[in-house]
Amino acid sequence: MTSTAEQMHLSVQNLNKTYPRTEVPAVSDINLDVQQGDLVALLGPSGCGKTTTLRMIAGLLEPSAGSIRVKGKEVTSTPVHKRGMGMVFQSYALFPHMSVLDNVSFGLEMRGGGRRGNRKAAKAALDMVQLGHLAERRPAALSGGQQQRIALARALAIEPTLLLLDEPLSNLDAKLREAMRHEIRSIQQRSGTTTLLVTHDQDEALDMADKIAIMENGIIQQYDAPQEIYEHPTNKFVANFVGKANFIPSTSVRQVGEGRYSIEAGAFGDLTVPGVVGIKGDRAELVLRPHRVRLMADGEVAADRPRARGQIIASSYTGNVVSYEMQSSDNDRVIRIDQLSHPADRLPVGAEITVSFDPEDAYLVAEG
Amino acid sequence: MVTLQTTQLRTGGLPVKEKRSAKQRAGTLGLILPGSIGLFVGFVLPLIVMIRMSFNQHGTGGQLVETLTFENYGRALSDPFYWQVIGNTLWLGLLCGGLAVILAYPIALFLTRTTSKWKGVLIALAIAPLLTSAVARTYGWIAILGDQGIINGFLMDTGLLSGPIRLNNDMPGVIIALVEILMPYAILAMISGFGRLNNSLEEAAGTLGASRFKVFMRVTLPLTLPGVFTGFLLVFVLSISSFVTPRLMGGGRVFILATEVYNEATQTLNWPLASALSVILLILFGLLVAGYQQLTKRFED
Ligand SMILES: Nc1ncnc2c1ncn2[C@@H]1O[C@H](COP(=O)(O)OP(=O)(O)O)[C@@H](O)[C@H]1O
Ligand SMILES: [Mg+2]
Repeated sequence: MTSTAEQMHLSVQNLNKTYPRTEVPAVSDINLDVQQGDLVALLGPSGCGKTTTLRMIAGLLEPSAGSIRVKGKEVTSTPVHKRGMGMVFQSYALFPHMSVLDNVSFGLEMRGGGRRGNRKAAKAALDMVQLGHLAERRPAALSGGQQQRIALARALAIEPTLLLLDEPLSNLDAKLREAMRHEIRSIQQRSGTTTLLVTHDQDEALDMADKIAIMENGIIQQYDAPQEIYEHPTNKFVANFVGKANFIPSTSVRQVGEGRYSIEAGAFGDLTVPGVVGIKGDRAELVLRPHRVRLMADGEVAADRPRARGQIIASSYTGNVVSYEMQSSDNDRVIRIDQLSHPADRLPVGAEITVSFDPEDAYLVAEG
Repeated sequence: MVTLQTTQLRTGGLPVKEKRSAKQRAGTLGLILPGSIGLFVGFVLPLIVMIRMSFNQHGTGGQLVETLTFENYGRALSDPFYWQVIGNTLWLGLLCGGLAVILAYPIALFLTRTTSKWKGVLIALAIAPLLTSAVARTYGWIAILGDQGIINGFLMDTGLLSGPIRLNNDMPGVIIALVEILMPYAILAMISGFGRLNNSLEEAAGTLGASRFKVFMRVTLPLTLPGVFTGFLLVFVLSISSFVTPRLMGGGRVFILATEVYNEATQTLNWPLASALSVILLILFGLLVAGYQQLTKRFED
């Protein structure tokens, strides 16, 4: 499959938005190609421009520049009610003066068609989210999770060319949020609806998305499959935002192959590690995920592994994982280590430890 | 109420029947009493006196005869003139209410929606006319609509008219002035009644395929209707009980209940009839408020 704009379901090119009476653009040069049937997450901290991007694609906000194409057709100046995109708002935005069934059939009604057929289709959409029995209720009489599903059914009932979800799970409690993740994902896959999901929750994005676009200050920092984002972040921001990371300052950086570098990584000494292609200069930072750092047993030898000694200065227990912070003995670096926990093995603060890691598990990024 | 809630919190949500202490009850009574006395002396007593008065008789010599008769009601309701007055009054109320609501609706909608930092100032400006008395504003309208007023003056100066057209001293002038004077109330009532309106509801309707017109008809209007009803009711009630503007702008040609009550009470000195007319006006109010409550109840299901 080639990736020309014509074959993409959604193709966003050089999208820009500067709000009136503001200086800095809220969104700059967004490029995003989404394949038919994929779920793409826009992930970034609050205020980075996710909602702005989504609203421009929905037609609720006029871009300052750039183009939006759906199935190769330019829709940048198509009014919102002719775009045929289904949107789930953060507040759900269910019509309070209509029954659940009327809410769901609203979009079908706007498209014409017989009343009876519309009601049947709306009922089917409600059954899809397993809320067929609530058809005659008013939205106000439903729980947050139920309203959320009604909003989803309403957006899906029109068989949208694109489903847009703006932080759909942020108003739910933690348990329900996780259940809804899977439900949304499974409905999305069953219906084959191409979907754009806006979220600030990295777990949600990693769990649900086929591809993730990491945004910061209105710019897409990286657009890749979840695993690529996590294992091979293109810069320090991405590595820091998605998952936890140790950043080990590295010197004497020298390229030794395509995306491979020889470095001197502080207490860990000389290493050869994979990294982002094209790092310039002789300084960089090594991304090391806390759960990839290994505590070595006393007297264990692993000559080929980089290692460092230090003292535990803090530890925290979260049930399945114990996190330690280690102050390395020869410099001021604090290294975070996550261990799958077993209460019997928990080390006290002040304990002297040796840690090591596999250089192939680390990843070098430019200084940021 | 407050004590009950804290008790509920303490017991984990189980409401506990609690005897309120004598001290608490005395406190509640102390808070309610001043207002109640004021209301009783200033409203309930005069009302009783007025209702009683409406059953008295206006003697042939103009003296007051204490008795119990429906004569005044009979006279008011059998005289076609008073039916005309009641009709005029209702018509004035409906027209003023309708026009004020139509004119105030877009303003209230704009003031509800605007995200401008001047929102507070704009709302204050919209209701600022309430700071001047209705008398002053009525005279303002006389200066505009009168025979020598701005409009007639302009039309005659430019030779479009040879003589003045009658803009005031009749129903149209009264309606124009009343609508303008009462519009701030309609705006206020609507702004407070537009609470259910929310930008994302209209946007959601748009994404579902509704054109701007359909969004308005299916979402905006239904959600703002409670505010519209309240605004209408307020202007209706204020205009059928208005006296100054109909009196000053009407030029003796506008006969509504309030002006007739005034005439009977101060000119004919027929207090029993004036009272009976007042009671009829009161009953009109009562019916309307009851109807309004039925309507809102239906609306909230
Ligand atoms: N209507 C607006 N007018 C001016 N600035 C806005 C408006 N909406 C959003 N912004 C600004 O644009 C930036 C991006 O906002 P938004 O897209 O809502 O971020 P996100 O959804 O990622 O939290 C923020 O800095 C925000 O303050
Ligand atoms: Mg947002």
